[in-house]
Amino acid sequence: MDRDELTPAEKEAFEMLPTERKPSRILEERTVRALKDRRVIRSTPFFTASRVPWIAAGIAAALALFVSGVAVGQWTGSRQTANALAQVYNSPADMAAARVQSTGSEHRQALAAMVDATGSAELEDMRRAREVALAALWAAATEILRLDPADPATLRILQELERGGRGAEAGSGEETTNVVWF
Amino acid sequence: MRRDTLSEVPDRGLAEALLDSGDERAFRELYQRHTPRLFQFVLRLLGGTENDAEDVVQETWIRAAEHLGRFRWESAFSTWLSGIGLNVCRDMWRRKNGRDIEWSAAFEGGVAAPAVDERIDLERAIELLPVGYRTVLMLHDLEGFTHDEIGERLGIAAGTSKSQLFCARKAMRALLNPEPSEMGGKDG
Repeated sequence: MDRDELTPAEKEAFEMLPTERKPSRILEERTVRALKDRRVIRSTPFFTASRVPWIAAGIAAALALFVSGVAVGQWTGSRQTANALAQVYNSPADMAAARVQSTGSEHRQALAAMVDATGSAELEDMRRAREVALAALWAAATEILRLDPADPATLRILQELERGGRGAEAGSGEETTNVVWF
Repeated sequence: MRRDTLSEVPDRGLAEALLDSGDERAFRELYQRHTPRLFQFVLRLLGGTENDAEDVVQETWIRAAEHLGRFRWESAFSTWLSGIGLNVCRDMWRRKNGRDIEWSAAFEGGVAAPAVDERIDLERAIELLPVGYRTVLMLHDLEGFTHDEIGERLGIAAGTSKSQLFCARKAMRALLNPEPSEMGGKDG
């Protein structure tokens, strides 16, 4: 065999040599950037027709995530509030105190409304409303006295109410209180 | 141009998309299709220096993309690309050595000797060849070019290519089956 030609073994060895090898991934980015700098490659616009559905889906997913997050937050918050209220109303004393506060507020609001309506309401209606309010005050003071028999403010209120009641009875002669509690 | 159909688009279609609209995805597809072969070719031509090979591949793609309009598609795109890669390698060699590759048919400089206990395979033997030998050997025995085509590519006579190949094979055999008289000590 001519020594200038490749032997079959040499040919096989050449064929066995790898023909491909991947360079680092960075090289592709480096090359693309260099071509963009030279304006051979134009930067792909962000809002291309093929990207719009994906962008819309992304926005929808983000909104859904946000809304569900808010809903979960509200649900968790309301549960915590309900738990706190349940704890408040767990003991009879707490319940009673809360009820006193609530009805006290309503009583005060009703009186304020009555004062506002003084100018337009019938005199007889106003008299009856005042009688009910004083009776409620008297009943409330009596209950407070049961809690604390020596409470000076309550004692004074009751004394004044009794004195006023006697005065009213003396003044009108036959006027009587006729309060109906609901 | 849609990404999922790019792999079916021939090189020419991708090249036209790059030329017409600077399509980045078309370029990336071309790059991914041809770079592994180009990188291996350049790496072997440079004697195994990866950093230099990456620089050459980048410069090759830049030149190819900038001159794509001049390519007549009379040969395969990969052939044209490897031709550019070869020129970039020669430019780098020239820059580093201050002179062009020695193509003299009378080159008798020998080859770089491997380490005493080093077991040489074909890849390593090619790597150790002088650059002129290595270039012709690769183009002929690996890439399958004729001496006329090699002469045209390298700007040398076909006869020079033949003599370079003769010397290259002789040196390669000496490296693979060392005999004391066949080993030189100079790279060239």
